[in-house]
Amino acid sequence: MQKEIIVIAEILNNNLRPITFELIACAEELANLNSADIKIIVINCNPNKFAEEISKKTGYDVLAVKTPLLKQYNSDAYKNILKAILSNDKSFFICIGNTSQGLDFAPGLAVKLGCSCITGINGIIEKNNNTVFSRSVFGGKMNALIESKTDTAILTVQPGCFKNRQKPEKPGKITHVTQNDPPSRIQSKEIIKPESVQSELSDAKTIIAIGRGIEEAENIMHVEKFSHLFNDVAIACSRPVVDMGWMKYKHQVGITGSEVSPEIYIACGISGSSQHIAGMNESKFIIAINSDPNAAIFNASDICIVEDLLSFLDSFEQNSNLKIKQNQTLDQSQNE
Amino acid sequence: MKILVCIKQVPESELTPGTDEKKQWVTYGPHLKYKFNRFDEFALEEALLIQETFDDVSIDVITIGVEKASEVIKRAFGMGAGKGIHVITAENEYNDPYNIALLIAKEAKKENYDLILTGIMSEDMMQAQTGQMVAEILNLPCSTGIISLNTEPDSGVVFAEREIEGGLREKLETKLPALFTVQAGINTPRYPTLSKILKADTKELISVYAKTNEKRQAAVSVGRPVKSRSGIFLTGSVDDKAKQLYTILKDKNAIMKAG
Repeated sequence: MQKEIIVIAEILNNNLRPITFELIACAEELANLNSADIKIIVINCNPNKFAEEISKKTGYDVLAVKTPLLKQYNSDAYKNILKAILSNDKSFFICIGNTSQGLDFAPGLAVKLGCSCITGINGIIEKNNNTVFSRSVFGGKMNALIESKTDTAILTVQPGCFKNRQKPEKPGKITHVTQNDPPSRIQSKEIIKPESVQSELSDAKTIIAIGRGIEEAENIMHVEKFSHLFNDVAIACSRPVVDMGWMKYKHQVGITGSEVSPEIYIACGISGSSQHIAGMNESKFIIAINSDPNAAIFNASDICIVEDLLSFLDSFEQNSNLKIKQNQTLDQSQNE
Repeated sequence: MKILVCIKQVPESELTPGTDEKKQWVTYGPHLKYKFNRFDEFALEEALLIQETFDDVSIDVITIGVEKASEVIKRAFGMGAGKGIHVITAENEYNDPYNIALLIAKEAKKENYDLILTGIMSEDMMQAQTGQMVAEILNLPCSTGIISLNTEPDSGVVFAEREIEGGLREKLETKLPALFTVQAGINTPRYPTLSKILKADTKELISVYAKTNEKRQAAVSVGRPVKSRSGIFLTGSVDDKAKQLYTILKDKNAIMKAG
């Protein structure tokens, strides 16, 4: 019996999210290593437009599950529908996004199906004829290779780790089913946007981001002073700094904040969790300052500076003022 | 209202574990220090806030971990938890979240908890699975990444907001009993108080040995991550590095010109 690699399309707030195509790229890597067909499942009150888009852009078959009574994603519905569809011996791997939605239902689905659930996958490796999965542990400082002990495995895939796989192909076949169960235990009421994410971050040439390593809110002014040396700059921060109320959400960079790609990104006292790195790793040039030589941020930086943050900023300011004075003296002497 | 909070002891993030000879898993050497998993602290604080708002609320905490993990229960007592359950595991190893969920569910089944809270993930393993799996085993509705929680114990309804991408929040309505995994920033966890710390030994702490060790997944090896960038470390004194960085930034025209 031909095995299947299943991709669960991510539809959030009635938008088809790009991670869906990254999951398909991941499925293709798996299909190359383990002969299997790829099938995408779309669950939505109006799945057809999403199913058509996916089948046209990838050429794979899509199962469109229409859920007329569910206006939004519902974890119980997803788990029950997928258990009914996937309780067979065909599924090899089930690829889901490592996102707020994917993680909401994937582990519970694994319990229903009696299989393993490996989360936050950032790579696939073939080791001793066995497909193993790479994932971040210890705040991103280390990477573990994990194998599934069950024949079927649910994988949640980290965004940005696989290419957004689209290529015009003969569209795949679309199958339609309908599921009429209403939402039961959990009712989704509405989706709100409490604070607008400022775009001031996206225009700056240099972004200087502050992490927990700043230690105290009072120290933030030292970074602000440092930023005055730059000609086109914005201040940002990691999530913990916002959680502690030291800076506002509009400065937050990361998966639940802004995604930025400035020319220069200077991470000050940021440990480098994968959630933060996902929000800034498109930056052209990344500089990190951290007193921990093993900080995960150093694996994603072009320039690594292991120093106490405040001492370093102080030294930088003194040395740059010295250079500016030297240039001024040079200009003056040239003018004389 | 009976609340259970699932908590975990994790290594301090500033320290890095070493690996064993075969690099199959990390070693939990003597240089490591441990702390309360940050996300579970938020969960316990949320339970304490509910206790302060309503009458007749009890808070139990449970941890699955080695002997030393009882420290995190003691800290929970210092914050205000009423009873602790410690399911003792033999050693620190790569745990399948499913096994942890089985161990928690086994104890939770003994009481009919109205509300189970835990952090969205642990800082060391970063699985973000255990809460959801406990809910599934106990057949409870479950929502994750909760950034706001409003409970109405009389009607048994919970209004929750969960955080989703793009700075959006989804508003949910759920009936108890239910399980929620909470996101950082939902509240500000309190420090343990001296009076509660001193009374910690008077609190009930049940210790049992873990009976299952399910492995639906296993660690094959562990090591440093692959670097995604060149990662050049500047060398010399702090002044040397500052000067080097100044030159780099000036060459990129990032520094303000003089005058």
